[in-house]
Amino acid sequence: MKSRIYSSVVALLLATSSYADAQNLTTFRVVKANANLNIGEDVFMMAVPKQLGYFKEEGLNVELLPAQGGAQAGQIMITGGAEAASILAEAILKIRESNGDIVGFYTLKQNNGFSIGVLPGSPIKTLADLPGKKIGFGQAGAGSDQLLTRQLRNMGIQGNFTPISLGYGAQVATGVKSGQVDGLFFWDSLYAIMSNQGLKLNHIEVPIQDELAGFQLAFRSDYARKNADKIIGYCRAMSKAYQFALTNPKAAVELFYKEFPSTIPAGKDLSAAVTDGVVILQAWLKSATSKLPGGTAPGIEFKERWENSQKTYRDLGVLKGDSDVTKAYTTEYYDKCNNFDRAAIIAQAKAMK
Amino acid sequence: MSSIKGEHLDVELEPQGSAVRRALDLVPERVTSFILLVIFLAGWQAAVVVFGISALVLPSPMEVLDWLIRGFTEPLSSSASFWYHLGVTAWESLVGFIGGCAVGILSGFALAHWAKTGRILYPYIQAFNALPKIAIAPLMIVWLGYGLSPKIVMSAILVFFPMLISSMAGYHSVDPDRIDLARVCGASNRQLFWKIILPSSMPFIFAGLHMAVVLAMLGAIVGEFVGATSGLGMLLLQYNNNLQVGGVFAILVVLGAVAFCLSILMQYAERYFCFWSRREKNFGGV
Repeated sequence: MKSRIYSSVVALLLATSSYADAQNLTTFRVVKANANLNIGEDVFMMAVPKQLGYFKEEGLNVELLPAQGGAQAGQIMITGGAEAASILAEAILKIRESNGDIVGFYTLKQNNGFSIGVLPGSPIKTLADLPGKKIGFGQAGAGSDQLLTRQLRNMGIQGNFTPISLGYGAQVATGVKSGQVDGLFFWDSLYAIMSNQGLKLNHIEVPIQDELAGFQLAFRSDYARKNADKIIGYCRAMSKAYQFALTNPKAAVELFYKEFPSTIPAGKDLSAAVTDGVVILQAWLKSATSKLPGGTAPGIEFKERWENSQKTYRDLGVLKGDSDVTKAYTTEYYDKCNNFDRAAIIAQAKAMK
Repeated sequence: MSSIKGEHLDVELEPQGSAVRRALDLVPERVTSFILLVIFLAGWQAAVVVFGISALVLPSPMEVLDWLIRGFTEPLSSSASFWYHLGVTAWESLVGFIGGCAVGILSGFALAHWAKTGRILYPYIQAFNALPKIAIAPLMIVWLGYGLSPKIVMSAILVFFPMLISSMAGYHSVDPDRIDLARVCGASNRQLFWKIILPSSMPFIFAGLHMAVVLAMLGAIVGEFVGATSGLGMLLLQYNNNLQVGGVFAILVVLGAVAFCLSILMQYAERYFCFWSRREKNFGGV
């Protein structure tokens, strides 16, 4: 038995390496801002383009690497551990203030999708009801609680809420269900996961996010200078997959589960898992694209939003705010990333049942 | 049971029966152990059903079993296969264990032998030992990249300290009279080490190994928490962050079973290498 397992592993390794060599594919590593696979950007950053051969068309063998947050993702990329990173805009600004070479070039998500989640029947109906309440965050003090405070001040709401660190996982759901917190400040796909598991929450939007630069794909400028073709290749393949997911989220989820079978829940029928997955993906995509100017392809970003991000986080004390914000991002790659036959991708997506 | 009671001696001697008899003596305890497990699982299942406990709080044993069955029946090449991830974690733990033990034992003996150096370095060793290792785990990814290296290093770091301490304690436990006698009889330093110091230190080293074998696995898991594409730690985190609590419990069951097996293995190893050392015969059922 042991020798069978060993020989299977060796055969698999040899097959994989020889396959990549035979295809003359260049390895391109993308480090992402969270440590686990989930339905969201992983669908179009990795699963769909890999399964449909978009990466191979660009001559790339893409690896998606996990990290404990955007700061670590940025660290790994700027030290050469990856060629690109998914990372929050404010993390880019923070790294640049420490002379890190990192530039955002594609906005993965226009609005980061955070909202206040409360149980039905909660006395919290609007943001004005937050002062005096206990609000659960992934990690209090990491920036999201300060951002919520800034939102309240912008609206002329005085008074403070109490931030409670809940971490990430089932304790988030149990925290609000048990009343340990009065509400949550988490993101769209996590709420969708909880909804699939029977916890329906009411949501209150936090509109300040529309004014800030969104979740970014970033590179090192010294790498991009010499390898622009690989950056564009990855970005274009990812953009195709993004369009595919927007057109047919069900097929996109199926491809995600095919690429990452460990994410399929056990004891659940695959079609039910796909249905749940579509709920999650659609929640993510809604935040990501609903604020796009009409007819605009995903990926675009605006100078005003970057400036707002720098100003907001400077006022919150997260940034010094003295770096040149125009160097933190580039719009040079946007058209190149979206330079593909969109109609063909839409047709391909619609054809998949 | 025979009992000899004397003025200064009160010793109970166990009967030296056959292996079959000894096995039969153990059977009732193992059956009791198994019955306890069944009662526990039945109570757990009943509690979940009767009190309507959400799967987010406590999944039922049947749900955990679903995850275990799925995990262990997936093909080895699938990323959902527990065998695959177990293999990765086991390999990281094994290499980290061997490396950490080797460096820890050699360092322990060296610091014990050259006592002045040991006294100089010991405060720094203690300070580093007190650091929360999970805090340095993300740095391992930045310094060593992805792949198995950072997890192996984490595993080795966690193993190093108990082995260092136990080796030093073992070295210092050697009866100095034995050393003196051996020297009088013309023993070389090499003979002193291999014939007296090392064997005398073995019980202490094995005390460290009992801890180290579990710490090796913990180190690998911690390393996988902060940046891995495979391994039980990665899977545990993924299930947790996707609110798949049944999957979390399934991984915990696997880890518990592995830790139990490693503990039994270490007891057998200790019995083999430290056959002269008195131990409670039925400890842990071994």
